[in-house]
Amino acid sequence: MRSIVYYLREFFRPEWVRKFFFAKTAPLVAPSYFKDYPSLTEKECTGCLTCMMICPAPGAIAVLHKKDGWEPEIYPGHCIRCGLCVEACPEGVLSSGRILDVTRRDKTAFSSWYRLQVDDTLCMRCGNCCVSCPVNREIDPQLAGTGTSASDEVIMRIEGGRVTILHEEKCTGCKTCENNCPNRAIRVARMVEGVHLEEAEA
Amino acid sequence: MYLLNTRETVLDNLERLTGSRINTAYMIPGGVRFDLLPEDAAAMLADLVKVEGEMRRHTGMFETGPLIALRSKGIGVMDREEAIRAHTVGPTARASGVVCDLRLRHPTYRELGFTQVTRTEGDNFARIMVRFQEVFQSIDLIRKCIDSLPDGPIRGGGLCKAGEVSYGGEAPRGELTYSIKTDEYGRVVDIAIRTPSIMNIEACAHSMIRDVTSIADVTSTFISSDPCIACNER
Repeated sequence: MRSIVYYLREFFRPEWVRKFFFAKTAPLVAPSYFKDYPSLTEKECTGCLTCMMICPAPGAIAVLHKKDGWEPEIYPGHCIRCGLCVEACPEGVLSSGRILDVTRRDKTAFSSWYRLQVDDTLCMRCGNCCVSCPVNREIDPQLAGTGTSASDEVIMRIEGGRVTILHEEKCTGCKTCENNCPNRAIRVARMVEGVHLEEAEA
Repeated sequence: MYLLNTRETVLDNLERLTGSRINTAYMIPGGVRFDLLPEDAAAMLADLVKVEGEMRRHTGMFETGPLIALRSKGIGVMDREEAIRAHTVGPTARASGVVCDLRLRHPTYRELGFTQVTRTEGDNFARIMVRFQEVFQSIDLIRKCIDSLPDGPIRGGGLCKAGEVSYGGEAPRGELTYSIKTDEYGRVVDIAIRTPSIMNIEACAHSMIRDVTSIADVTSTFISSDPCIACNER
């Protein structure tokens, strides 16, 4: 009974009647802080693939080689709009909502690095990983065939018939080795830590 | 249907803080992603007043409405022994007088002076009212949290390493347990999730609707156990 009275009183308010007949509903506008699908800014993508590595949704983002350089592409059906790629990108290529402003204000960041792991029971010492690695190829252009190398600067090389990982910190996380491994013996693990920049400097 | 309007206000506040309404992606290991600004906190407090006023009105409607009482008071009764035997959790158990709230053991909630909402009737009405009372309790908790929010970094860092853990927390529907096993780089090897609806729907099927006499009461009794079908159909 009380609710009926409440609504009758509500409906006879002149303001309500005026609104009912004349007011048009304001168009629905997403607020400025709404995290939409990431959009491209003017900044240039360097193809470091950090966005692909941090993305929690499978197949939501890919960095493609276009005519004039690299460019990330979002697949909206897969994207869950968490905005982690926006926050992780060191160049600020992507933007969504106010994430870029807020991270600058709060001085927060993600530090990420990669770890390589070779399962010795699965590895058949073919050396495909060492040969296919683009970083390896740049450091030692001579590296080919069985994956042995004279250089100590490469990420990994075959030593005595085994894959030996020398410089894990040089890995860029492209996962080319993982894709070229016939036995899925080598795995690239992404390590991400949310950090406060002031603390990191101190 | 009345409450959907209030829900919009709550979701707008979530959006203001995190940028999205449902899937907020706000927490990360060692902290959160965005800081709560003083002006956002003030807007949130203002909206809480609005939510509280609307909820008081709706609670009054549910408490005094004769038609709602017809479908809820004394219907779908589950007493304390039955609730314990059926392993019910959350508001469904608390409406039957079971002391069952993991927040009582959580250090943060302890500091906030959390006390459990309990009713002893164990019928549909008690289950509705426990949820209403918990809304007011949560509003008070949010106010206390905003008042006592400390300054400092919002991200402490932290990595997931190898290990195996089983942790239960109090979700809106009750105790939610995750058992996760990870390898040395924090990748999930094995995961098992126990959702509260698994126990609550069973309890509804075996205890609550046993003495119900009409089909309409079956519906209201089933809904009063707050079943989440998606939690069970996994």
